[in-house]
Amino acid sequence: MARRGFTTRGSGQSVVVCQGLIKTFKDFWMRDRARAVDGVTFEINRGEVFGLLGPNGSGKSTTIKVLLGLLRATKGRVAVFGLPPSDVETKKRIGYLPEESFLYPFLNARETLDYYAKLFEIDHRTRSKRIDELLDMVGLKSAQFRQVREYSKGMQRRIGLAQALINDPELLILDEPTSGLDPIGTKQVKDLIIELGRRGKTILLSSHLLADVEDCVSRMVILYGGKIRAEGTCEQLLESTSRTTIETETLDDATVAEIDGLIRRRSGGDHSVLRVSRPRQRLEDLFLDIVEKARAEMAPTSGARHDGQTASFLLGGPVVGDDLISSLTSDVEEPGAAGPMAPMQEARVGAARAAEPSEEMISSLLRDASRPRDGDEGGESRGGEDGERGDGADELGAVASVAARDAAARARDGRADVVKGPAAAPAPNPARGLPPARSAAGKPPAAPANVDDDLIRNLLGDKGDKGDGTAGGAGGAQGSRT
Amino acid sequence: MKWRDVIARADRIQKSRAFKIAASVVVVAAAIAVFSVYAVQRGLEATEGTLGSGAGIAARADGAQASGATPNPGLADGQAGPAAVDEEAAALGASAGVAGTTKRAMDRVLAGREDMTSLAVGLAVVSGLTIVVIWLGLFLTHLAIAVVIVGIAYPMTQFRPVRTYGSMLLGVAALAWAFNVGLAVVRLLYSGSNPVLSVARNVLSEAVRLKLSLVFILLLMFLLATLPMLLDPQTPLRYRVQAFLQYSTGGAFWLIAVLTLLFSVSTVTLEQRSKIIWQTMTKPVAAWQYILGKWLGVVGLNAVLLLVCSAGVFLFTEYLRSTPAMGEVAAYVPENRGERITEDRLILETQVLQARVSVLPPPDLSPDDPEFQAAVRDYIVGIQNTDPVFKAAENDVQRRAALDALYERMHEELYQSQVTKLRSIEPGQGRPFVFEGLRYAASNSEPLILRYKFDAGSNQPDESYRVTLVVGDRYFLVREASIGMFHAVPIAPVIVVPLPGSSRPFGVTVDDPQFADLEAMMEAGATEIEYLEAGDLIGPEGTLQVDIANGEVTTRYTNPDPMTFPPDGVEISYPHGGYRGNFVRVVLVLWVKLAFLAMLAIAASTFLSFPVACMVAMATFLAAESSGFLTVALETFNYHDQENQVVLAKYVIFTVASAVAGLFGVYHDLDPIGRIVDGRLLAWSSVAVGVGVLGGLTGVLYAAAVLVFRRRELATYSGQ
Repeated sequence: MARRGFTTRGSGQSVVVCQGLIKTFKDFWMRDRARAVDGVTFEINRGEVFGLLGPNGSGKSTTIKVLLGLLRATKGRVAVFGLPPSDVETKKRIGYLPEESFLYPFLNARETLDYYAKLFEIDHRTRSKRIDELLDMVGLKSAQFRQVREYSKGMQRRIGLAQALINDPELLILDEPTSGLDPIGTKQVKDLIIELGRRGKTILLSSHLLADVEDCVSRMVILYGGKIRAEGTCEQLLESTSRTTIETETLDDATVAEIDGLIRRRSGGDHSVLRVSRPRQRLEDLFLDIVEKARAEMAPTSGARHDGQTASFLLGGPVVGDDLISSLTSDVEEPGAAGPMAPMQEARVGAARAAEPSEEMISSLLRDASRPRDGDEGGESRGGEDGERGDGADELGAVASVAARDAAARARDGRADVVKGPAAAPAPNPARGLPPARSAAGKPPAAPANVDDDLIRNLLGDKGDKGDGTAGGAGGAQGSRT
Repeated sequence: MKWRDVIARADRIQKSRAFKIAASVVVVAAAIAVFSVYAVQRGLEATEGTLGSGAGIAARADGAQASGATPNPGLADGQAGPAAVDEEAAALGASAGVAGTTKRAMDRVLAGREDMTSLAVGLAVVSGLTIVVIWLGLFLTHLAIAVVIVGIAYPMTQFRPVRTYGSMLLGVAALAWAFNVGLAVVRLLYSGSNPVLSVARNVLSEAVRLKLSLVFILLLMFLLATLPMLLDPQTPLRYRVQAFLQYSTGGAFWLIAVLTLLFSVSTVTLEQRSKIIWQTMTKPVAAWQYILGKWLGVVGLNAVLLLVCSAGVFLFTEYLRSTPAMGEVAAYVPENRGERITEDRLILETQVLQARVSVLPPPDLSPDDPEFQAAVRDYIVGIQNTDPVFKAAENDVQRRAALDALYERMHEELYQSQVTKLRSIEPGQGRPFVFEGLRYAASNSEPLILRYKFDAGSNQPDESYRVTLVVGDRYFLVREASIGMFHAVPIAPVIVVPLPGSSRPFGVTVDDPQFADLEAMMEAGATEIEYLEAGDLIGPEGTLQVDIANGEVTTRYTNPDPMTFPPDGVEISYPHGGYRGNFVRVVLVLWVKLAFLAMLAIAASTFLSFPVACMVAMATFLAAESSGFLTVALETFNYHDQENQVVLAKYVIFTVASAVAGLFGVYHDLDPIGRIVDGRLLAWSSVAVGVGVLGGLTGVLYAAAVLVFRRRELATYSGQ
């Protein structure tokens, strides 16, 4: 018997459709007590990383609970995979990580995953394999036989994440996924989210930690008081069109003054240098550096490990952009005319090669980046072109920097496998128009408004020539800083 | 080699297939060997006549003398009776062998001595559990633990001051081991990859890892292990066995029932309160699967607990059975050589460790009897003018209502009064009690036991009355019986002896020391005495009449006060099946009851908080357990005041209590513990009715629970 699903207005690729959702909580006497969600409408398309943002009490978790069938909508229509949220069939395709990990305290990690896997009727062999991979991925293999009640909050969040992934879900709903995690764990979760997004998973991410969300989501809504206050992509919502930031090596005061003078002259006195400062390393970067060093020194830890690989069953099939990454790392994978090398040497060479992509590839990237975006105005087109070139080049820099870091890590670990490039790193996908992954060094420079390319070249001097290599240099610089 | 290496190596060995196969074979072979050795030893002892069987007793009964002790004080001195025994006849009869005579009841009783069913059951249980442990790959681990425990406990049993503790430790260890293994078996059964079994298996893990349930389980083990120590060895064996059956079975059931209620409530409510249920119900788990899984988990836990406890009870009862009864020097070997079987042993084997069918005489008076109703109406007409409500009535309608209310009240009072009167026997008088439905007993010549209890005077416990019993109009007995207590008389088979001056012969029952002597006389060819069985006493329609007289008829002795027999004060019972089969049915019914309680608690938990659900579940359980008492109490409950007005509160109580008593009537009537303690049959038909009714109630509760659970918003709890 065919199931009767919802017929809601939505695109054919919509995984989640929410129309006019209202959720009102009533008291014992059935009086309205609180309207947690008030007329929320949105859709989540297949393959999107969708952000549901808002401060505490804005209705994020309530919305998620309605989507999962834990609450019933007071009004409005909700459909997940075209079916009502309460439908059991829907839940076979969903993975859910609640805001806190509500786990059976008397089970150990292995038993926990085994229990949830059985709820999906996964056979014994597959179950066993997935549990091993997930435990390794979340770094709990050494603690898998300890009861969950003995875990720290971070460890519980990790096992919570693992259970959300046990069924290789098509739709992953994460409610405050980084809550309770240290910066490394946070980064790993973010990397995982991005990776899963690349692999075609649809992800609904709810958080009030905006910095964590910004790096991952492709589209978002921002809630307040149960209503949507803003909706759009990161670019639409975050890009500032009234400022330009240029980053260079240290400049002396005279040079700064000269730049200021130039800007004033060019703008007829309307614009000037607003602020000169030295960029600060982010605390997160410092933290990551320190931990990396500790790991390199093989310092012992009884907590979760952070070196797990993404479980293979989650990686699925090929991903758009894989060719790009493969080609970037193809030089490293080829043994080369120099003949076989020692693993450490290979890794170092691989790292070096990853940091120096071929010119052909750079050109192709720049060509891609130079295609005008929709809506770009003419005046900005050149800037935009350069900006995109900058963006494309910066993508390359970001890719290279991550590849370099991974290669360095593998070299330290003495692995024989060649750097494969940033397979686990947030990789760009120009075809899908996603914003470039943010490197640890910060955001890429946007095209300055009302400042032409000549100025940039002048300011950057010889380094500008390398940019057909410019961004390569900049990216290389970024890579070297990390 | 370090200890860790040794342990690791031993672990590898015990998990290897070759070891498992070899160990299983060794265990089975050992069990067979033990059984065979024991059987051979028993056979040899029987041949040598040291067992105390009927044949053995007869062989030893050379020159048997009449013991002189008689339960028939009514016989006057000088009267010829069976008291005088011919030595030669006795010897002749003894040497001829009792086995040559059909004496099924006695032989059946004494055959219990040679029965090795309990040994076989015990060996099978232990072997089975051991094989399970072997195939779980834990044999050496368990063996090591057992060695440690026995190493500690056994020496304690050799020293008097700590002997009790040593025995207790061994008992607790054995029960705990059996429980662990049983739980492992159930976990294996629940290891499938589907939501129902996954939830059920999780419940089992929760049961043994959470303090709430673990405390109960340990308490249960401790209770069963300790109970045997509390039995007074000076009391008759039948009372010890009954006491042990009562407290062990009853105590175990109540503990498991309370555990079931509390645990079933907690496993659902606490998951909701702690939000753990979110993780489960956001997976593809339907409400019916979740509820069913929870229920199966609790039912599985109960099965293990009940099996372990009942195995322990059964085996220890069998052990008690093999100890000497009162008046025996060894099991089944009376101290008095003239006695074939002691009274204590006879009652134990024929009444306690039996499955008897009890037949009560039909009511003397039906409440709907037309003559009685007419008499009540006449009575009311006579007193209506003294009734204040009737007198205050202003019209015919009110007068009619007053008369109806008066009739209802007086009908009940007069009925009780009339029934009591009909069951009273004046001094020097007698009355018949007719028992029907005894065809099975007649056709199978089953031994019949007459149980009776009467009240008289002020029911002084040290007072006794003489009672004359005329059975089937074929013979008579005289008994000295205490007031207010049940007495049992084996009325068939019986040997009847003519008594000069009496129209009916005198009966010598099997518990009489002279019975064996009379048997011998019959073997020798005496024709004046006759052996009667149930078939000789019961009529073709399956009826048997027993006349009871207040006093000793033959000597014209009368008791000072009338004797009154309560409604269940006279019954005839006969064995119908064995004690062991009855025990199995009792355990099965207990399990069904516990399954019902589990679903009751889970259903309450779907919409109530933990404390409220516990309260509701407990209250329902107590109401069910006390429904028998409620039924009896309601018979005398009056919801009218002195002015014959209906008191609303009392009427409500009466209505609710009647509903509860009616609803749980089957629950109470099953009475598995009472039956096993009294040795009454729990027939398969009763089991089927019980399973059907309780199963139906469980199903209704399940459906209600699923419906409620589906409608629940799990993200809210207690309004949060």
